Amino acid sequence: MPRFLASRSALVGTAIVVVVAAVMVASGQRQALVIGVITGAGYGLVALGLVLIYKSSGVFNFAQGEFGTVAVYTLYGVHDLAGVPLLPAMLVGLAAAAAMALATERVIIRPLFSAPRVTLLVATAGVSLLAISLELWLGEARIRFIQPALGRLDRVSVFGVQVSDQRLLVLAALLMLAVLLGLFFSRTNLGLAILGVSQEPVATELMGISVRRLSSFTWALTGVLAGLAGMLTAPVVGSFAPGFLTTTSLIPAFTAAVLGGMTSLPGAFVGGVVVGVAQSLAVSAPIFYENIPGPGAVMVFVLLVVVLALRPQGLLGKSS
Amino acid sequence: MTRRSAQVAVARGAAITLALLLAAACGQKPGVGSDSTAAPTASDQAVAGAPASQDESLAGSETVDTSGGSSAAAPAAGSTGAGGSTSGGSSTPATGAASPSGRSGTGSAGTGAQGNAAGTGSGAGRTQTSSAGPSSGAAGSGGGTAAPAPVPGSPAAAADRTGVTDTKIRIGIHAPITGAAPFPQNAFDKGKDVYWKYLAEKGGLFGRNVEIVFRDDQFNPSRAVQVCREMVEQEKVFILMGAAGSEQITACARYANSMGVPYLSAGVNEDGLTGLRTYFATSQTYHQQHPALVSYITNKLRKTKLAIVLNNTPALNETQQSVTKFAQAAGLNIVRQSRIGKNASDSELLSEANALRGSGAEVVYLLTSPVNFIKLATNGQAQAYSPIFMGPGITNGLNIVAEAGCPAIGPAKFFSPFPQLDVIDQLDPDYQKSYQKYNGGKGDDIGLAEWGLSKVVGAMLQAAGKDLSRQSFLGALESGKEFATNVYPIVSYNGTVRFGAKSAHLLEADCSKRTFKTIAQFTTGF
Repeated sequence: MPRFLASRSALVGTAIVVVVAAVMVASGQRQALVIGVITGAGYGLVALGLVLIYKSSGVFNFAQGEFGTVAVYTLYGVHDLAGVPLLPAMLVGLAAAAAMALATERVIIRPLFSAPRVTLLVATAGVSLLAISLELWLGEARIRFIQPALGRLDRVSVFGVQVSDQRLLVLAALLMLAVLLGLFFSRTNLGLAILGVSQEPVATELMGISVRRLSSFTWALTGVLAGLAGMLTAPVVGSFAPGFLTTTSLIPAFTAAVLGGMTSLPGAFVGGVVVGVAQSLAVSAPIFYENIPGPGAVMVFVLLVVVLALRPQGLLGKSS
Repeated sequence: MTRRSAQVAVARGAAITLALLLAAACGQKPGVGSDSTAAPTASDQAVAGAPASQDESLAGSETVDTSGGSSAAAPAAGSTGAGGSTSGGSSTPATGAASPSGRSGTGSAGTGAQGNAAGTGSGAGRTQTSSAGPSSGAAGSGGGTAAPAPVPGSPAAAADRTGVTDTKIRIGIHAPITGAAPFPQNAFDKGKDVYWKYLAEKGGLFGRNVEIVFRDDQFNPSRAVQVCREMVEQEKVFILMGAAGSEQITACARYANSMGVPYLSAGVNEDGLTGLRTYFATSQTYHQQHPALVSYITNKLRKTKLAIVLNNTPALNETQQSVTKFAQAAGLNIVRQSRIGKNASDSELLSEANALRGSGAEVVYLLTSPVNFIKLATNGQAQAYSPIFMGPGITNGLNIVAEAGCPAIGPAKFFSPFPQLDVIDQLDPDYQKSYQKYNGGKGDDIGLAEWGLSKVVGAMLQAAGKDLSRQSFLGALESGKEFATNVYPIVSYNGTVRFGAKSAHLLEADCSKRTFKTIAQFTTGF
């Protein structure tokens, strides 16, 4: 049995997800289930970065979306405008996202690290707003269109829903990253050191581990994750604008992270999928969309409130 | 503080921040957090006494023609019309004292008093038209919670020359430069002054040149009211114009009405705008376009299965009822009706595309933003579903939509107040020449949209005469004159009719060139 399913609460949470999926299939909402999974994967990718930062430093990072948006702008500039091939352009995009995350850590997070976490939360929101303003200023306030790296649309069809190669890529990237990061934190010294810093920074420092370096590493890593999320999901949607990832994915991704348990990387994956399915169900089932304006957004909000009220540790998280 | 309590505190902080962000997002959703001035009620509409049909004939109409190469003749025609208008308008200040009682009165009694005062005070035929009960009633009720300012067209108000000097007329425009239906800012900036520069070279409007004040409404009705308020109260513009976005136009038009400021836009929804005293549509409303749209589906496309997809905003309720009624009357089978969010998520649009495919709709009537349209078409294509997208609107027929949306949008067809670039040289050769002259390049369709709208407004300002005031301007519009530009359709209004256009252009996407082309000009049906 996987480690994250070892606890009773996690089993219950997983069982709920499975039952909901089964009910959807039985009630004719199979397509909503498929659509939810493939769109929720994008939320899960953003949620991974949120969980990574929270897990390592206890900070709710509201700038996560903008790390990804900067990567998308960089990819667009380098690939679409300058004509650099896609893969090198993506690497430049990842580097830009990592650089922004590092700068945030160095200029904002590190000086405020001993401040209350709420202060850091607000500080990251400030970084996000600043980034959006800069994107508006430098990049013109208009929508840009971006083509997917993988253009085939009909390779896989599940319950009548065609899943494009680009969506499969997002799903595969999410699964792979969730597993790799889970292994990283449980099996490697570096991962354990990061967890140690989040729990007892002074003791970790006394063990000869540089907290500053670890913090920089973690933020750079979360920048890379956000960059991947942005560069993989923007072509799926087909367009982006200033604040792209923040406006389209941050709130669902936060909900996914909370749903998954905030400290559980596999939980971010599960949370992303659950949020995607809930949104998809809300806009597909007549009982919702005929009675609720903006049912998708409402469903995300309801899900967030319900989880915070009934199970603050999330489906796969551990209660303190 | 224990670790547990610290976590709870942080979680609460995050929840509060998320709630605030969601609330901010909901502020852009239809029906949530909209500005109080933009909240029409059924009783408002009833009191307004709007005519059952906006197609009623306009008696004694006179044409102010600025179309094609005949623009030089416009001032003369405008001057003639202006004389009458001005005399009517300028006779009104003497009755200014009647205004407060009219404003303080409530309901139909107050309105009636104002109307009577107007009729008595001026005695002019045109002024009697402007004092008709329904329109005055609309002014009294249209402001929602805000008490309306003196109605410029009524004799009860003093001549209001805000924004007008001997050399300048200041006009405020709001448009979405950011948000879900953005105009590219460069294109918009380049195009907004071209007609006015062209006109200035020809002597201007009785020696006056037009100065444009522009604000981005972010495709958000609350923001739209905010920027309109800025333009009226701080920038002191003479009139307001809305470029696109039904919710934004409705919200701003209602604010403008409450302030007595003339407001013009391309035709959008009628719900919420019917009965507003100072509002005028410069092209057909969605409702007015529906007969031609349905006849095209039945007679030209020969399709029978129709799906209706609209933005999820209460302002489009009446539009949905209207297209449903016309489609059913034409024998079309409506296989799906749905609403999508203004900033619909990927999940929502993929679900919608899938549901449309499942419904078997051959034609999708679409009334949403270009971004939603392109994403929906792209998701449809990904599901091997390519219906014919068709609809009314202002922005979905722009070339940037074809550029970004082809091939997914296929041969999409949208009605439009203005033609596309393929026929503009035949209709109005001055546009490309002027654009080239003032901007140094070939004019685009966004510039054309601005050129056409400016041209209509220019004709109206000419008709209002040299002694320009908001009263004379509204008087000229209500006089029944026809305003012809050969770009926008001919429009004419009277004391009650504010939706005064009777034709539209039909555009079709040509994905081989990634542009839209004009397949019908000034059409009324098929």
